[in-house]
Amino acid sequence: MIKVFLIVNSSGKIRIRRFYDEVEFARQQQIEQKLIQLTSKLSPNSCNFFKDLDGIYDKKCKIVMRFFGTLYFIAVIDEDESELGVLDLIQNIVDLMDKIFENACELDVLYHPDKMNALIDEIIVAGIVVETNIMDIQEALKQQETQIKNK
Amino acid sequence: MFHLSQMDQIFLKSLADVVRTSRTTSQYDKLTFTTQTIADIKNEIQSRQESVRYQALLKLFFLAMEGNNIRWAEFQIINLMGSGDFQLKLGAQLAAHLVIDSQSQGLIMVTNVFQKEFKNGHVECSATLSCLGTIANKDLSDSLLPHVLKLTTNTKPLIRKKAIAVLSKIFTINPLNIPGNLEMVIQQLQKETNISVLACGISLFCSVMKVAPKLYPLFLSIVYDQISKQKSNWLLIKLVRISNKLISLEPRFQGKLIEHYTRLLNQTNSKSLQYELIYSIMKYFKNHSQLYESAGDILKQFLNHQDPNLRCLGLECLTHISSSAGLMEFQEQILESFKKSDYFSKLQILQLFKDFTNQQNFQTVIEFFIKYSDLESNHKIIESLIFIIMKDKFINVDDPEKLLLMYIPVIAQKIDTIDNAIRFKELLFELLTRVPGLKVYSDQLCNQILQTYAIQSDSLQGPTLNIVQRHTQLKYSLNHREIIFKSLIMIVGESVKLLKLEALTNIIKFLEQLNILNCYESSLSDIDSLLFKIYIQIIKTDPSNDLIPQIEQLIKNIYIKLHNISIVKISFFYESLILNKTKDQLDQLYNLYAEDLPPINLEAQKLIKPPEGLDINLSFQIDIEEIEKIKNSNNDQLEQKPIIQQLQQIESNQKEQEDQNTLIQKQGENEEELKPLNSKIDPIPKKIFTINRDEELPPGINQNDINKSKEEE
Repeated sequence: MIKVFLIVNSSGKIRIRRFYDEVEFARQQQIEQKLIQLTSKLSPNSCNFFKDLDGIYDKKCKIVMRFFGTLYFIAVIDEDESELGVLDLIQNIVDLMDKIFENACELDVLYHPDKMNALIDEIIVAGIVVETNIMDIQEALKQQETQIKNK
Repeated sequence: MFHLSQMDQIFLKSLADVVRTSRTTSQYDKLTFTTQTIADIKNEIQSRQESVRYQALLKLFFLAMEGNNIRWAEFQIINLMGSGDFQLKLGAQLAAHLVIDSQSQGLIMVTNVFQKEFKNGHVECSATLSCLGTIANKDLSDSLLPHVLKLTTNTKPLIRKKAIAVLSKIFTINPLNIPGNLEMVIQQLQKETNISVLACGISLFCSVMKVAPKLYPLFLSIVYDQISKQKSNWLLIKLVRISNKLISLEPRFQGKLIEHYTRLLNQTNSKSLQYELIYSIMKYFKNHSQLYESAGDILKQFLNHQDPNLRCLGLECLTHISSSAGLMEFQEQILESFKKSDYFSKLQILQLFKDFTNQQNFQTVIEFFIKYSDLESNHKIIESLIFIIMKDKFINVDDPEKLLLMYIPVIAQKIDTIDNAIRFKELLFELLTRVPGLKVYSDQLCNQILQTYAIQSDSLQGPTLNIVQRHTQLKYSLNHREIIFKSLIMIVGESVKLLKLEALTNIIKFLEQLNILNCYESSLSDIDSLLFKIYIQIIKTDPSNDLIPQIEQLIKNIYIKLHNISIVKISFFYESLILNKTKDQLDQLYNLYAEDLPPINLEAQKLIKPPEGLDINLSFQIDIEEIEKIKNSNNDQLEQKPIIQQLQQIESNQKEQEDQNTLIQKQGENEEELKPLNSKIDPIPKKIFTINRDEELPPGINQNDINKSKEEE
């Protein structure tokens, strides 16, 4: 299960945040700050996942991080989730962003927060990855847009 | 609710306008801009025009992204969730998690809204399920459970998989909802063909097993069924993961999986699936040698892979090799990969060696990590090295002398944090307490470590530990170097009786360097104590020694400094000692430092009455009689099994001989690297030191001596 999913820019501003467990707002902010501090340790040759030894969320969890452009994709996962699977998931999200926004960048996330959040909600529900097929996800998003236009 | 006038509509700011203005606004004007935007949003979100409300919602998203608190908009967003317009509803559901948490009061209002949405088309239903998955709490879950259960039988796979995902959260929040409902879901999953829905189902089982592990028999048949026929890698990964949990609860399940794991291991090229399989095999299939060997071969590929993620996963698998002998097989590869690993992989490798270092590879491990520590990971490496050395009362150390004179000085030079300095201090004290004979090397140890301390005058560089001395109320700060300095001064002080005159002369020369008293002001009392011990040691045997006036001058310099920096008054006793040197005073001081401090100071008891009710005859050390009884009973048992003892000894001798042959080659290579260190060590005849791991009493304290003095009274 994915416990936390964040998309953070290189200045430390959170563009997308999801907490899939019951976590109070005060604790959410603490966790976010500590995860953002960890981004400085990521380098091109480093491993993309590591154990949460400091107990930022839970010592039994792992933190998966990937950097694209100016955005850090951070996921906190428990022992039921595959690390390589989550890395692939992040790659899928980026590919989808490219398809929807055409050469996606951080500004697309700023100007279309509704589309970005809808995209994440089609892939992860209640911390579980429900779909990884790009075509199926695009189809679901198109159905939403059709519904909006048909009002 | 109101309509915006035409004039207002002209000046209405869209999200794009707000973003552009925010990016061009200076930091000083940001607060004004944010306040104005919030005021506009509060106004616009109550408008009757849906487009205006939607823009206000988008602006709320932006404010949240910029780090502003938008929880004041909770009621407005819940209101929008009940709107007739799908775009507004969807936007509000997507923004819900920004304003609602499990403690929110507004969740009560959401129940009815969601119940209505579940009766609508699949698009609304899907969006509502996604929202519920993020904001569900106990009350909301309990009220909406029947609706979600109904949706698990929906014709659309999109709705079914989301409903199952939400169910996993509902069951986790309130496990009382599981009985009766879970069996229904399992029956549906047994007929399910859609891979995404099945994957969600497996995730549901994982969630249920966390809160109700005894329900595992319900999952065995469906998991086994899917493993035998599934071809989707994504689903197989989930199945292997859940199988690990099932095997730990039902070991007989392991036997059923051997054939399928062998097939999958041979067929698959997917690294993620390979990793799951070798992880499972390393942990649970150790008894099946063929499968274990195949997994071991793939594990070696992972450890040697260029991709750091795969190397990291390979190391993760190694944590499940329970024996050190098993790890020794991979030791070279692990150490090679350490050289090119990133920070987190290095931490992982250090953790591995913390668990699996033994006497055989102790020297190799220590020398390797000392050589390959870098700036980023240095503090973690030193922490791990100290742990490995001290583990189980120095169980890995077979040559304490080499440890003290060769490795410890190098480790001391690399310490750069207070935590590690404190750990180093504990290591030194414990080592010298458990191996009393090592104290004779204390001056050499100090020479090696402290020679750079006089050259580099860095009084308070780096983070400091702030201390208030209780009896003097003196406040001072220690950095890592001073912590080490204090501990070494104390060790030399305790070892003064064992040191030769030449060694004591070198110590005095070292302390005479002005830098020492200036740089280490917080340690002046420790230096003072050391000087008195040396003073007493020399003055008793050779009162006319040239060192005496030098020591007296140093003591005077220290008290001048103490006068300047604290409120401590010079003790009349010490002042008169230096000026008069009366025999009585010297004898008293000599007796004070003559032996290790006993637990009960019998001389002090003559002058100070003990408190009422305190039994000073009762030892607070461990009862010696008890220890003797246990030892005797152990000896009886050993006497009954002499043959077993002899056999064990023969085996251990054979093992030692084999190990020595392999170690000889490695030692030859390693000692070349440590040649510069070797040249600093004085040539001393080889002594055999044994580490005291059994006795709880500190060495030097003899219970018989205490008993004798009590009898004399």
